[in-house]
Amino acid sequence: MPRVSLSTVAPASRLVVVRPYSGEAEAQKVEPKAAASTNMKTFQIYRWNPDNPTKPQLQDYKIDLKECGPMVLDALIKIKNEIDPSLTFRRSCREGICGSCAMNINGCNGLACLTKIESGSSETTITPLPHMFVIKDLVVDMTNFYNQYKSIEPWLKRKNPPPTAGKEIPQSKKDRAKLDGMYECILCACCSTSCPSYWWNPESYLGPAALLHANRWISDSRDEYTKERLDAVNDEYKLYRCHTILNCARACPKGLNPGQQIQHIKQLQLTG
Amino acid sequence: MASSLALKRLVSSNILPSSLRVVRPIVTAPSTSRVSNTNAAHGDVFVPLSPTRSPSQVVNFRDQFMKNPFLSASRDMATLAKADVKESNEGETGERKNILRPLSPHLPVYKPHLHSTLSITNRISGAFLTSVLVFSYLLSLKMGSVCLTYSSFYQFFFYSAKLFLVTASVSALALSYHTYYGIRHLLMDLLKMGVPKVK
Repeated sequence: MPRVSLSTVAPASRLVVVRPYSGEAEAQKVEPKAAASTNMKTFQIYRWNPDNPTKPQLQDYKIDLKECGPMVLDALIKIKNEIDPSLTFRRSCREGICGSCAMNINGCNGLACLTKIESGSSETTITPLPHMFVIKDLVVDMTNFYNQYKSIEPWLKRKNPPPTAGKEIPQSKKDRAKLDGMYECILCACCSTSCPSYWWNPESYLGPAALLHANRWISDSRDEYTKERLDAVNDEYKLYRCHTILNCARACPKGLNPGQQIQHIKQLQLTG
Repeated sequence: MASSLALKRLVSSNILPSSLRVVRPIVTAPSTSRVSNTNAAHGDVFVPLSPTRSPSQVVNFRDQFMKNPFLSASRDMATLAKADVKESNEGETGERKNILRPLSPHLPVYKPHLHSTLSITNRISGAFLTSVLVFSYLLSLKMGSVCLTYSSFYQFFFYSAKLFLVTASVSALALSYHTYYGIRHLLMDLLKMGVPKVK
């Protein structure tokens, strides 16, 4: 914006805000775009199409980070809108609470809506969650994962009716605090698909997510089937494929520690 | 690797021909030349009855192989899937395409972290120590009888005797690491030391 130098302005008008538009022609002049300096970044994204099945490929996309939001999901949506509408991925809440956009970004599992695009000119590689069957592009088959979650019976089970009939089952604050670190799980599958043990035994090992939820119900003071729950998991494959590799804690986008919860289950098995 | 054992049992039964080996296509970035070694280690066996494959997919796959006995074992999964597409396109329009889905990349892609590296080093050191133990048993107890029959065998051991010192020092390293990791694991399990904070 051309600035008017104060020396040419009359003394009284210094008190008035001067808008330095000298005429309509200049007002219509478009500001030079920041395109003079662009910040291009290359995204290598895993592509596979079931309608035209060839070997999966990593396709390159270049986008300008100055015209894109800060998160990887913003970049994916921009690519889908402007460059390649056939790019397929799951997404919903865009704020890290639904768990739909879980994928592998630069070698680590995470939510695309919570992972910032790395600054710098290095390429960002985006692949789907590891060792899962790919339905299309970045969308994987989560059926096995959900079945394992169902198999641990994630609901309150009681043998006796509640102490005051018709009212809620009371729980002390201390007992409720035991559930912290487990109830926040959004079932995004970042932890389970980061565990090498789960890669090699996906059908028999339950995985960190299901075991975290198993511990959530085992630790719930209102639940009366604790012993049965512990016995159901006390299997060489279901529980003890965990070797505390701890990739799960590293991958969790909500900051939970499934490895610690699995350790808790193992200790309960020891003490009976 | 119980899953691979179960798969081998399945393959040996009459559901699929035993020479069937399906190579899973892995993503290959043009710049990297890494190949997934897990498939080789796992045995490139098709998972016929995993919960993610529907029974009709399995049946169709089997039928195709029964129809075409000359299908070579090393045929790429991608071309197989292409054949599926061609057949169903020419057939009835209402028929579901039976495409074999690829497995997303894992080992070639995943970034190694501190704890995962420690864990796999523990496993590698354990495997190394076991192999050293077995080899030294074979060497020390059988050497006498073998050397008397095969003189070139004796020559080989004479010239490779320098390797013993190197192997001993490497296995000392492996043993100490394995022991430390084992003690750490014991403490975590028994003394409720707790799992270390990773983030």
